[in-house]
Amino acid sequence: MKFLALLLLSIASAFSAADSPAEKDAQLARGKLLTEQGGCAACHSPPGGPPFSGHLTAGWMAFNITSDPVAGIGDWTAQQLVQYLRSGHVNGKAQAAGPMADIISNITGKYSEKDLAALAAYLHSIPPANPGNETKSRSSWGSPAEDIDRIRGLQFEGGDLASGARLYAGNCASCHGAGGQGAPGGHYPSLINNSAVGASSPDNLINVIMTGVSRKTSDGQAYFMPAFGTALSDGQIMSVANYVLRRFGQPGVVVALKDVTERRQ
Amino acid sequence: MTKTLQADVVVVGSGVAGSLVAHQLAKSGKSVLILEAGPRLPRWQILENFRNQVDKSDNDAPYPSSEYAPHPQFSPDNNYLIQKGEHPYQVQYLRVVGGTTWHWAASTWRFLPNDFKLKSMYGVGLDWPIEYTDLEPWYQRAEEELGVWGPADEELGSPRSQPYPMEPLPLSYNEEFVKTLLNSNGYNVVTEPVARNSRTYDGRPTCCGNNNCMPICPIGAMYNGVTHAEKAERAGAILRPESVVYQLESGADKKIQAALFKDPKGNEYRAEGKYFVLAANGIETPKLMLMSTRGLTPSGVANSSDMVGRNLMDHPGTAVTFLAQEKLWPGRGPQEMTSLVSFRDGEFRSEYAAKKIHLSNLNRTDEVAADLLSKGDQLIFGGELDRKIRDRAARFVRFDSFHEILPHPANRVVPSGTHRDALGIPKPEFYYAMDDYVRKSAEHTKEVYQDAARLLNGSELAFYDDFANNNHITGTTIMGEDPGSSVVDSDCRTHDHDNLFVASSAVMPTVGSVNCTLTIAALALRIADTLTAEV
Repeated sequence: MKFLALLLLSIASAFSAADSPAEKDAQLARGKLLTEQGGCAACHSPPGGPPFSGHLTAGWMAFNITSDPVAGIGDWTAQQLVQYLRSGHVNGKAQAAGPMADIISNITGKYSEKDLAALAAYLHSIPPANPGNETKSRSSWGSPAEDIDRIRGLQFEGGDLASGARLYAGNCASCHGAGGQGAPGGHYPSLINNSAVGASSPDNLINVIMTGVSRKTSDGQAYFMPAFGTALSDGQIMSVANYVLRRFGQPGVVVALKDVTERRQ
Repeated sequence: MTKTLQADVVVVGSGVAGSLVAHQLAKSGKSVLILEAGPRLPRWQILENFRNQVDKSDNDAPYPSSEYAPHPQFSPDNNYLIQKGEHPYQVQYLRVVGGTTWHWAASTWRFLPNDFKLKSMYGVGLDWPIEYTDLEPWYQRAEEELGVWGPADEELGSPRSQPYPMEPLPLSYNEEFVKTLLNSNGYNVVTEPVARNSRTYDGRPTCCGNNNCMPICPIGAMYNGVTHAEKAERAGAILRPESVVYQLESGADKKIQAALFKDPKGNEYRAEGKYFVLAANGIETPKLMLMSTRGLTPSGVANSSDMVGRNLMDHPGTAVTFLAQEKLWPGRGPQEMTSLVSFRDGEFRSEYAAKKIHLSNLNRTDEVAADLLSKGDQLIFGGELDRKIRDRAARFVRFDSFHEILPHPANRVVPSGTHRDALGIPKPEFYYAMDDYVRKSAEHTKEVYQDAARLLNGSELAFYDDFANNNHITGTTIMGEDPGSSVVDSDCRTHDHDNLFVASSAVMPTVGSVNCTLTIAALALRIADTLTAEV
């Protein structure tokens, strides 16, 4: 009986992993079709550049999703890709916001497990491309911040001149944690090892601070971050974004005031 | 020369009442000017203040009182409230953009139908000129505007036309345990309706149980009046912080013509409008009306009845604390999730006050630790101290209560003739006394406390019979049909000036036994409908 169960289990897993060459081909073909139907290239493929190697579209960075392990999603497991396409939420990798949140809420989040596996398999088959010569994956930056101990109890002057550390403590830390590690269990994501924070372009980070995140999964789970565009001035958004980049992202990426001001218009 | 501003509607106060009115009117295309006495405080700075304050139980400390628009502060006492009565009216409120709902329990109860007819049902107090059914549609709309969760499967005594906008979050272990125990012993404990998100609602996140609703929800999952202040601004209303109104000017046609206000430096301004809505709470509103004695209203605006500032009410509170035998771990989830409602209505109301009793779900670690560290003769340290803090914080039980005091004209607030603030504006002066109606009820409340402690095998019982304020400021511009004995009519329009409205708990002729904010919000939305049609 135990043997039979194991046998059935191995057959089932062989099926979902698409082990035979014919099954693999069929899965990749299905994944390719879904990619085309979903219009992934419209945002992720740069005009004239390597397919799916990333592109700034309507103010949002549609990231490199080739199989390159540094610049793309080559270091994601198939299971992580499936989870991302279903929920937009993989702690330690990425959370979907902006147009990708809508894609997940309305399209990929409703796919069957089999289609999600096909899509993940196809993404893993896209030839690697690293046109920006990235040297470190966007989800591998940052370390826990300890500034809360430094600023606790101090008296400060003037709201608009507030440091990024203060703005982070007052606006972000209640959910993302004083150290940036997110909530236990990960419902509120870690900012360390987070694509939006560790990317070479700060566009998505600024957008998320200003407009928030709103995403629903097919099982009714809602992921939500409030917008801070009204509560914070342009200067404050710049300060807190730069603090987040310095602690949890690429310290070399810096937001200028005009990056925020132009976006508001 | 005095600068003059103009609007269709001038709203004094940017708390939940004023902001709801302003938002509705701005949405319908009226020009709206909101004059807020206090400053604009960002949530993150309030939170920073809270994190940096030593005494976490001081709900006012994160909101420093300004010199130009002071509000009461007690540690240390800024002596803003002048107490002349036999019982001090130690009220807390905030003068900041968004008002006092920055810190509240978010309890959003409807009144019971009988709360509107105390006099005719039980022969005490007053009847409202409206009934529960008149207000029901606006209660519903208020719940939708604020975002209220409430129990779909429990009878709260206030008939509903529609379901609550949101389902409640699960009760904490503490609340569930005590609710189950008391209900199996003849009491009626229900899940409390609160303006707090159990799902993403109106651009605000779900409550994640920070357990510091008071003094500040760090993430805005709990409703604050500032939500509608900002909505009003986005809809086109002009909100002017740091604008302290000190005089209302009445014309020969008995219409209010202007609100005069000062900025923090004392510069004077004039706001003219077709309509005026006073929404500066139950203290500052009557104070302003009674200060407005220039020209044609020598006894104050809307005060031909002499009722402005009178009938001051609140919910005098008593409390009990004890240690339960079992660990209940209060402190998970919001600060309050249930209420004991067995004594909100009944024949006894002809004899003594109705009341609501509620269990605290506040984390007590700091209170318990401070208590242990104050025992100078038996100090413990290290692991033993940690163990004891954990044990006592886990078993700490506190019940509080709201008693319904009756409206008495002698209980009143007036502008002080002797004490003024930095702008030269009189401070509020109180004449207040407890009544036997409350005292008698409090004796029965104590019996309930003792019974609850018995059921929980409680030890170290301590009673707080101080009739503490619960900051539900009511009665001071009372609503009624008779212009001779009331200040506003059933539409919250002043009898004396047909373009002057009061959006506040001040209009309530009885205080009932529950938090009054939902009733304030319902009345405010009703005023907005009247004005939308009329302006």
